[in-house]
Amino acid sequence: MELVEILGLGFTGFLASFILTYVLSHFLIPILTHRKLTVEDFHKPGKPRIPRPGGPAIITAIAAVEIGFYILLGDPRFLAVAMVSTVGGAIGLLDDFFTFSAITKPAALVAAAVPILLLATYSFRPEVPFFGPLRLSLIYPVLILLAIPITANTVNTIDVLNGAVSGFVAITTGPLLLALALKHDWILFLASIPLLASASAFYLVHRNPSRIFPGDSGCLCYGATYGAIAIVGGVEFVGVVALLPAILNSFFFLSSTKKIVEHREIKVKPVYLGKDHLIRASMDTRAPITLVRLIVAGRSLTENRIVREIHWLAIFASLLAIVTAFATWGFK
Amino acid sequence: MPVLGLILVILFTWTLMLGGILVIFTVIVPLPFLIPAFRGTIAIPVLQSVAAALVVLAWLYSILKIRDIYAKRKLWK
Repeated sequence: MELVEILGLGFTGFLASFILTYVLSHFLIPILTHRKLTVEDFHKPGKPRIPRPGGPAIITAIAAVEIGFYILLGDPRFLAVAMVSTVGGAIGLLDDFFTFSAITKPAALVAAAVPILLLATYSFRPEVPFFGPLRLSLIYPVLILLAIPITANTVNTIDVLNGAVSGFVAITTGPLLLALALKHDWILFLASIPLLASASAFYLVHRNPSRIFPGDSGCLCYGATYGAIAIVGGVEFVGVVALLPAILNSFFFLSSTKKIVEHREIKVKPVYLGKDHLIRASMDTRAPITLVRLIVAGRSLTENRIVREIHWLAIFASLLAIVTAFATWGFK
Repeated sequence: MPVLGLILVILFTWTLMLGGILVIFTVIVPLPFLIPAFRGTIAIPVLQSVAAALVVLAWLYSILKIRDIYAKRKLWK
């Protein structure tokens, strides 16, 4: 494929995914509001009700463009990414309506990883910075089954405030694109574009004050798609580094609660909204440690400021991911 | 720039990750290649998988330690 063709297809895919996400989100807002499918925005005075889930717009946009690429180019890796996104999003959609337990959700998400194995669209030789490819023929298929639930849930845990998750995914997809370009893997480069476009478009309706929330369907779709691109594209380490703020958030949370629990099951909240409408860290030692609690530790901040700081952390982790990509493929 | 503390946490986590990869892969991974009987056997992928698991475990443990230090300074000072 010529570079001009790749750029043309990439631009078209970006526009299609962006417009689909944006238009479908606007289409969903009145429908969800009319059907009273709304949830409280906890960090706003008066706790206004916001329509949720916006996930169907995200799932449709990503899957449609991936399938479009598959029809045009015939590469099964587009199909694998589309299937992982759809299954991950569908599990999230079930969770939005029926509320899975903290164990059922990651267990169900194992199913989202199966298309990668069925279509054999992975290499069991992940490339490590400085050392090149490893040979993990035995353990790698098992790691894939674990990796998709982990990335999906990790991205889901960063959905804490207005615009946090959509902006985070849009920022952290950048290093994946660069790593895939360094590898000259133009198929997966194209497969990453719908994720970037969808997250950027959804940010416009999700940023403060949110007009719609992505819900678990949107977040799990983003996380599963991210994991699928990292695995199928063989850019696992770059993906891990870019997601570091979210990984730290979920790991801090998990290590404080000592077991897998849903956020709604937590009795002592890590942060609270003060009377001055600023968010403060709980000083209760029983409250779990989260990224937001650490950000507001010792000070009180507005929701906008916290989201901006989360995005700064994402930008910094993305820069480190770019350095990791150069340490892996830059000298070839 | 108050977010600097968390940026340092991320930088430290990343450095540990790369450092762990460097140390474990320069020590454990070349070992089976030095023993002629291991060449072409299952021992090589098994040892490489163990090395990868060790890197991840050591990394997660160090993240917890960093978190404790940061939380002590910022939350429970």
